[in-house]
Amino acid sequence: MYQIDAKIISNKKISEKYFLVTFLGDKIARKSLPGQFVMVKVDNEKTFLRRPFSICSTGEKTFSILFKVVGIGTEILSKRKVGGTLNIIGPLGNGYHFPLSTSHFPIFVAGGTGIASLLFLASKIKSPQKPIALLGFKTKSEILFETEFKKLGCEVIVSTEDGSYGKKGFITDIFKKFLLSTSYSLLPAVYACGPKPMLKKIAEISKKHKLKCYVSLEEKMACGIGACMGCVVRTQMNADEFEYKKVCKDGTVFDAKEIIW
Amino acid sequence: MVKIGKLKLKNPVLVASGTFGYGIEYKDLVDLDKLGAIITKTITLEPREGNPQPRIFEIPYGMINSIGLQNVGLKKFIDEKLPELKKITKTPIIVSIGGGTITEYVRIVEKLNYENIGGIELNISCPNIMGKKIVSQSAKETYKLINAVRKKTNHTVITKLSPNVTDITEIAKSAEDAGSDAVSLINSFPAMIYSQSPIFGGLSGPCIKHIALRMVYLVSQTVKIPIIGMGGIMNTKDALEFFNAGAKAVAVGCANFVNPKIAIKIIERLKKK
Repeated sequence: MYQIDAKIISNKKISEKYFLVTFLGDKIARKSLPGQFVMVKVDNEKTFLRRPFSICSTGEKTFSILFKVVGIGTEILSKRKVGGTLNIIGPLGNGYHFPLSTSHFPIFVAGGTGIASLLFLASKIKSPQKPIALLGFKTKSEILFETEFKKLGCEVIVSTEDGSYGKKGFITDIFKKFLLSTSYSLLPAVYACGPKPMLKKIAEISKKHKLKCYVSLEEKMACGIGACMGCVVRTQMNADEFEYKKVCKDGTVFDAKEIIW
Repeated sequence: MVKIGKLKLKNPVLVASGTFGYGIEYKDLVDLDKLGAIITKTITLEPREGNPQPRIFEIPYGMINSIGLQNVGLKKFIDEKLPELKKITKTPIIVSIGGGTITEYVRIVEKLNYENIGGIELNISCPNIMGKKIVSQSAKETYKLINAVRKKTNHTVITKLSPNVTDITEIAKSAEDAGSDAVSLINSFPAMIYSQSPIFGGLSGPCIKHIALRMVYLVSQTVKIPIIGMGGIMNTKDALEFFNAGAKAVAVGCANFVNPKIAIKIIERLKKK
């Protein structure tokens, strides 16, 4: 875990409302694992707390984050200029559980910005067969990374909620249909990232099919390092007791079985 | 050097309870040995699960939290967290404690008597425990609680006060009379967010600084025991304002979330003054 002033080397709009920012920061770049995130101080005037963003990719000395403009923090970040620096803490969290055993192959299920950590995972995971990437978006203009997943050797299925591109419907329904319509010799291991209601459904479907399922959760955070206890999620401790675990420190990736949705 | 009760601090900048976890969380980012003292997350006799989500809200110039004192409980704190923190730093550790009854506070203090710690901060001002009255809203209850604790321990006792009172000087006087070695003020303000339903929490950050300053000043005119000032300290200038208002030491609170290195930066800048 490092705290650095990272120089912005690119800040690009890559689809409707989505931006990809790349920072120079070799320490963070070298240590980052898929599923980990960084806390970014986007400005000192209009926002108070840092903002958490999943790491989307790394180069030798660079790392990138993906974000959608949803509020004041992301609005400011979208306007940050190349050459400027932002203070960043990372890499944080525990990342996805991999590699897989030879009897498993990965299915990535992404909703919205959840796609970021899964693209990173797809670039690092070794699979005994072609991985499947199910990518869900609201509408055609928001679609991103379809080609990137293909380049990484994935079989890609895109869905839009309004049917303007790919299959029509929620990615959860596409996932359900995919499992029912596909026969496979190896066992799928599900890696999902996206909004909580989506992850809940993915977890339920995976459970029904007795599949391993890892979910990367999002939560509002103040510190990002496990100190403030603001970002907790209810998890099963034993048969009748629950425990609040910290999304930032104990997660963001959890075995879906643990989570009390 | 600053003296708070029996505790000698190498510098007057501390990190406030609830904003620095058990200290351990910050070890990769902060040179803990440089801090004046670490005030740990409030510990209760039994582990507490804390409040349901949502717990954190950013607001203009600050935040509202509703953690609800989630903590590992006294036993795990003494067995695991405290030894781990002591292994990585020699900085004095002030243990913040909370409870539902005087008996609970006393039982915690009795256990802490066996520990080599810098002191105890009595959190009698948390705004996030539903259905419980805030002890430090009553001068009489404050006296009773501190008096009971004082009889049981030789550790330095610091009492953390709520700003949500008619006259904070009365409460501070009561703390002094009951034998508290120092007072720390202020805790966060009881506040609310309306998001689909009302959510109660504690307001902190730069938006409360000037209220905190006034209270530190008023209390400094009333009691002789040292004051640890806190409330929205974001930089050296803020810290100096608290010293000028009468604080003997200061604690950095939610600024630790914004910049974990800020307390160290303030310490270094103060040295140059």
